Amino acid sequence: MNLTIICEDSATKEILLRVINFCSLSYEKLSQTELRGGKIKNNFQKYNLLAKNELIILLLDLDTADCPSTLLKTLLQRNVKNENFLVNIAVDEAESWLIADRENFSQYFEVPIEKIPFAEKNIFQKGIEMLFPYKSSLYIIREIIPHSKNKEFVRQLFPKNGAKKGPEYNKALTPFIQNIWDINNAMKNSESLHGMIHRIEKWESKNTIL
Amino acid sequence: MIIKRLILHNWKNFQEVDVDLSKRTFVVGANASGKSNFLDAIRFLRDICKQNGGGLQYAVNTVRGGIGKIRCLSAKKDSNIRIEVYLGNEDDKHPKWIYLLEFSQEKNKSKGIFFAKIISEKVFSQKENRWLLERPEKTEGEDEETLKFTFLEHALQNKSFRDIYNAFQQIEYLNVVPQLVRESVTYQLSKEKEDFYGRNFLERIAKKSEKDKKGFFNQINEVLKLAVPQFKDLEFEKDNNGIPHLRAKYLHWRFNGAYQTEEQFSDGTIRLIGFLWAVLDSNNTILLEEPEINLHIAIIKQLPEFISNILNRTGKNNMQVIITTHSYDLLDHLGINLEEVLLLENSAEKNATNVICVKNIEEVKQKLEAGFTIAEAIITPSSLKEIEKLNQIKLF
Repeated sequence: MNLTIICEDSATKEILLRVINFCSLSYEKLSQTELRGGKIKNNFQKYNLLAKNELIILLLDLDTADCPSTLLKTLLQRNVKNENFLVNIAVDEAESWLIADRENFSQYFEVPIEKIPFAEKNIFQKGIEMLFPYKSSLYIIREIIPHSKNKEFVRQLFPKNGAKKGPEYNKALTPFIQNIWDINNAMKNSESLHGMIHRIEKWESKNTIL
Repeated sequence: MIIKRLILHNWKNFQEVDVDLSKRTFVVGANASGKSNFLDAIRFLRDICKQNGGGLQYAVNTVRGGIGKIRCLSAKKDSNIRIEVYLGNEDDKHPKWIYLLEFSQEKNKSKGIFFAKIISEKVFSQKENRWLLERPEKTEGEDEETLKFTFLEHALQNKSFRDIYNAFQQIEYLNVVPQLVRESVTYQLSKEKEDFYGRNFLERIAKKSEKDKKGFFNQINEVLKLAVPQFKDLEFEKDNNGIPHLRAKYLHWRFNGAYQTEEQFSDGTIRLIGFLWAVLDSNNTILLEEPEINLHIAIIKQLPEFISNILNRTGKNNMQVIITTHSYDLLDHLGINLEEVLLLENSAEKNATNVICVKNIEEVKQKLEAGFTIAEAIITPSSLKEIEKLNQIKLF
């Protein structure tokens, strides 16, 4: 079966690819679509229809919505979700899954581990998550990365005047995602990441691909 | 050293411009808003300093067809043209150098020909904290003939501010037109001329040492491997007539691939190679006209980060990239900051164009605060207000 992955940017694409590899998911042909969150939401029903013929794994940030299940219900608009359509909603952004691997994140980006908060339980979520005072990607690059001893990471990741991310955000994160990020360790601190792995593995066990 | 600030007076469609430029600058505006004219002010400085035949008269008359083609149509009483440039390193609070040139049109009465006459030429050095040059007030022996030439263009007279000369001389403009690159005939026509649209791009490669060429081609091949996967082993060669060519293996043509030259390369591939060559080779100000043309959206999205990465490499201290663009996808990169984007807006009141850094546009700042991206905040103000009516025009 063909696989289409849908995500919001290059960094989340790399996260999806790592997770797919972690789950040893096999497929015939891989297509990748990167769209802003709003556009993914607009196309949600179309992806659901497309999933009749192929496996679609979608990764969306929860952002300001209260909880993943409410957001999913809203997006489905009373339609039934196709079983080949695996919707994953990161709490609150996929970047929080990266920092959920606290020890490796701290070591790789050379930031003191005490600057990285512990995962905790939020009233809206089932399990624990990395929770930040505001949008996790922004909190990481504005409040945590500036403590890095590596000035190059600070330059690449810290957003300047009005920018939402650093000038080389993807370049800085990609090697970490591809080579360092320990998914087993990150899962301990993120129920939403755990849920995604579980969803893919469950689908895999039900379906014979190829 | 980069161009940190540019002030223009009566330059083409700009009556007054005063903008700061970043190491990476995006110039955005509707069609015919003057993006190329804006870049042309910087090219003008390069033309003055061009080796073998450059100079003020060359830049004004030979390249641009005279003052009448340069001067802003809405120029009124003060019809002089002025360009003022601040140069310095990226993080300098104060410019290392200021260069100012003001000129107007004069007619040689006996010969009946027009020429550009210098009204003022000034050079400020931060190191010495004074104006090193103030023409014509503080120079001796000036007459109608001397005021046809800048001190900047003369090696003897620009000795104390040679840094400015070097910086201007190395400014590069790139707008590779694939159709011209493909035509060998144009090479012979443009060989001796400054032709940034075609064959000289290959000639520039030809002039590099074998070692440099090899290094650059290795890097270009690395990028092409990702951007044009069926394309392999890009090389450079000269044919029997000494005409330079690019050659690469296309894997999808035959089982083992088949060699093709630039004549068969796609438009996008040629433009991408031209772009890569320019940014990898240069350590100067590069002016790039709409690099998104012919490129796939996935490549365009990567360009801002790719350029940022190159600008921050060792040995690229003097490199600056000024890019004109219409591309939503290029500007949609979340790492672009407000100081890096200049917006060109036609002003109905002044009958001229304003150039505004978007950090000073309240509407854009409000949109960003509301969560929109720079592309979303910029493309609407830069678009044409009534373009939808295009489909209502009765053509037949």
